[in-house]
Amino acid sequence: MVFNTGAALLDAIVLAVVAKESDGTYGYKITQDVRTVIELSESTLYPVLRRLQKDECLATYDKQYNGRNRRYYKITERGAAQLGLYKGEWLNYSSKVTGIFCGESYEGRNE
Amino acid sequence: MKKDEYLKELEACLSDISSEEREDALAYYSDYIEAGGEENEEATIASLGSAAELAKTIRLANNDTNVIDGEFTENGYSDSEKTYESLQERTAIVKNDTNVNKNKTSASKIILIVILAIFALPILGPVALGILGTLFGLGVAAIAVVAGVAIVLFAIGIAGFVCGIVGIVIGALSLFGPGGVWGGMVIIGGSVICLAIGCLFTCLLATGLIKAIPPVVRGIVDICIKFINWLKNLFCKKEKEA
Repeated sequence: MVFNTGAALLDAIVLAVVAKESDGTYGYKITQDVRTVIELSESTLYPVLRRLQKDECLATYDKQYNGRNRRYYKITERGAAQLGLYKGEWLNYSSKVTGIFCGESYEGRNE
Repeated sequence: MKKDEYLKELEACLSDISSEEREDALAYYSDYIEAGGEENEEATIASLGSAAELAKTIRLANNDTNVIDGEFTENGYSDSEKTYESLQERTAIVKNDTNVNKNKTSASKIILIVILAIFALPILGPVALGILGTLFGLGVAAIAVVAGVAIVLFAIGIAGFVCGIVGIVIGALSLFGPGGVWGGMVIIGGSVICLAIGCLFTCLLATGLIKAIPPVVRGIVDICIKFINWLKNLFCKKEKEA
């Protein structure tokens, strides 16, 4: 991708991906889901998840899978609030950028 | 490489972080490799990169390790343009990581600066005063020179005008006086020259003022900004040394 993904946007995408799964989701799945949206190396997400966990935006719990414990991530109330904030900011920002790209300024130039 | 082998190597690379952080990271990547599927184990491990590289990434989650902070920040920032694509996500995390660090340490930095300032006061105080005094003196001198030139121009201008007008009147009167027409004409001619000189100097002064005032103001503002930046840099350097 040409555009750099800032830390806040990465946080927002991770929170959104986790929030989609009401039963929680695990590291590998989160990584693959995020990778459908932005380019990201496989290893990168751990620090992000760890930080979001420390900030109490994500909660973890262990769940049996194939006879082994697997760590699952779930969004917290705080995380949901943070995600709501990110979503609002993103809509505001992206609509402005889109406006500049193909909206008002384009029409203005044609006149 | 097999999973157990890889995780052992990773554990060795992470010997410098707390055991809690280490266990957490090892559990995460153990889960991760398993979730990738047993048949893809080697491919998943390959996609995670070398254990040393992965350890670096893991340390990004650990805000308390300052070692990574300096090293990785510079890397992330300076190399981000050249190897933009590959470092892009890493840079993103690094930026955030340093932000968190800055927030955490800003209070202690301020305290350090204050302490440094107190200790440095007896030495730096007089020196700074001397420099400030010199700069102030130079500034005043420069302003005085400029003002002097302006006043001279103004004086010559006024004098030219006055001489010119008075001269023209006297010349006009002396046309009918003992000097005769020629004498009067000479006086009028001289007066007109005076008037012209007055005009010239007034114009010079006016254009000088119009042209000089904006750059001078801008220059003073610039110098102030540079001085403030220089002070900032000075403090930053001290912080690093401390």
